[in-house]
Amino acid sequence: MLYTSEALQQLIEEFSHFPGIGRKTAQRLALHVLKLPRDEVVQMAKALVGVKDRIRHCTVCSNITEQDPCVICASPKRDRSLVCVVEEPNDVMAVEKTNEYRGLYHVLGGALSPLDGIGPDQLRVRELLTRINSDVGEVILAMNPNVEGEATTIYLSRLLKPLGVRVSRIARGIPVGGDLEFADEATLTRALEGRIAL
Amino acid sequence: MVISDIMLRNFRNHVESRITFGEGLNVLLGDNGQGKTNILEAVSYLSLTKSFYAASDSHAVRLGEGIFEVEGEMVADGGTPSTVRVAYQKDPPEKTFTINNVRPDSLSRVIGRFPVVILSPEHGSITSGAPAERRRFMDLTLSQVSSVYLDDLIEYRRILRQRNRLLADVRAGQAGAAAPLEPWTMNLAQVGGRIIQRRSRFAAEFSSYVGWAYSSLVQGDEVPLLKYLPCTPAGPGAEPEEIAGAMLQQIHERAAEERRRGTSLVGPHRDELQLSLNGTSVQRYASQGQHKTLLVSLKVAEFYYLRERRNEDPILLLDDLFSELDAQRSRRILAVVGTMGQAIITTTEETPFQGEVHWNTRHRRFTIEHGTVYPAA
Repeated sequence: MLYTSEALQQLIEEFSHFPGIGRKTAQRLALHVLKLPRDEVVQMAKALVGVKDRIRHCTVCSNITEQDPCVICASPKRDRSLVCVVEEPNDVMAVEKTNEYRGLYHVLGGALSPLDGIGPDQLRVRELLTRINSDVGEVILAMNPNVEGEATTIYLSRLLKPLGVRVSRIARGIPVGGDLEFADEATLTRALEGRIAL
Repeated sequence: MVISDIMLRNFRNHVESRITFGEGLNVLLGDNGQGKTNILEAVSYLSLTKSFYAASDSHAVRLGEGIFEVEGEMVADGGTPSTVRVAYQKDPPEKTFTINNVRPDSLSRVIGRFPVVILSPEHGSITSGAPAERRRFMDLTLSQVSSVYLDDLIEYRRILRQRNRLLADVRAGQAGAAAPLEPWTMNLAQVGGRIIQRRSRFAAEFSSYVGWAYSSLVQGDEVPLLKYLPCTPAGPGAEPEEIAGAMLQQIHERAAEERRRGTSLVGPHRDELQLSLNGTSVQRYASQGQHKTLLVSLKVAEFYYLRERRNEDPILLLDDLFSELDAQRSRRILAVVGTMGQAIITTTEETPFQGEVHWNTRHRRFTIEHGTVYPAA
């Protein structure tokens, strides 16, 4: 499709690179930007550049942060004996939303995936191992419940256990508030496998 | 399960075709290349979410068009109807699947909901071809029975691809000797153990279905037998964990060979489902007639196997049913198929039906010409 403005076309191109944004939505977004007052657009542009300029990785947990160490690692209220290992920063946000977990995090930056060229060297594995000292009592592995997450869990548990730290993984199964009869068979089967003794 | 109506739009050579099927035999008559098989393929899209032969979705779009649509009315044996719709758009590629206007959580969740049994000329390789063909037959049957099996299968394929890539990288010297193969090996064995256990149980149960089906198709004392030969020998009662343990041991024994060849050599992806007649290998020694009869027996067996486990009659899709069969065998097969469920049959000639089937609202025939469907005169 041809646009009457090169600037508009360029903006549509940029929007369409976003995850989950197709060509049509990109066009709607671009036309919306066109209708906004100029100062609002400047605000938005500043915000965009801001995340690139101000955000870096915490040298302790590798989560994204503006201050180093990040607010979670620096907080005296956090339980320093617990480290929850996740794949990406958005997983930290997900766990934080629970308001229940009071320990620290470690962001790996992905999961093992030879098909994508990701091995241990591409992840922050060495950084995790150097964090394990006498203060750390338990490492919780909270990878995504897929093939890559599973391999990463196995890999990390084999590295961590010899260090004398307790290693656990999050459970998978029936979502809270869901009825058993509506759970799909695969989820229910996994939940049965992961049953716990009372 | 029956399909009462179907609509094909810009699908293969059909511009827009609508068919109302009967609950018994539905015969699609026509010369080769007129679009008979395309109708079976459309039903396959509604049931399995894809074509039954290895064709890409974009090839199913009619030449010069951008989107195909297939919509069907599926009626469960209890009488509950579902409107199933598949639309595929070429650019950008997007497949939309809905059941009563609702998208399922994932396409794999649809498999088995509208069970089908398909027989097509390509399936000849099940009895005569490589082990992969028999594994595919076994997998499709089991997938329609158990979504847990299908999930395991999808997971296994992914693990296998990851592990094979790592082994290939190791061989090419692109991954160091310290590359973590072990997590993928453990993963492979864990899921592989579950698949092998399921398949062993399947082969043991299914063999008697095939024996019964074969004897209903031919007189004589030939006895077919199915035997599952997993790469890791496991007793019939072995638990998945035991099989996984045996698999791990075998993988460790062949570790050097795997690294040298750069691929996974142990697991259900290397298994064989052996077919024999009176103890003689079918693949090598059977006649053409025996091959076809055994293939039809496998499909008849699949029908009853699925029916008993899903409490639902599968829809039979029989492509070019009578090819390679003499008049007597054709009549026998027709007699057996006539007692099953709904069948949609393509054929170039009507002879086998003459005098055997009375056409009415239950048994219908259609003529297909250049992608257009006519009620047969």
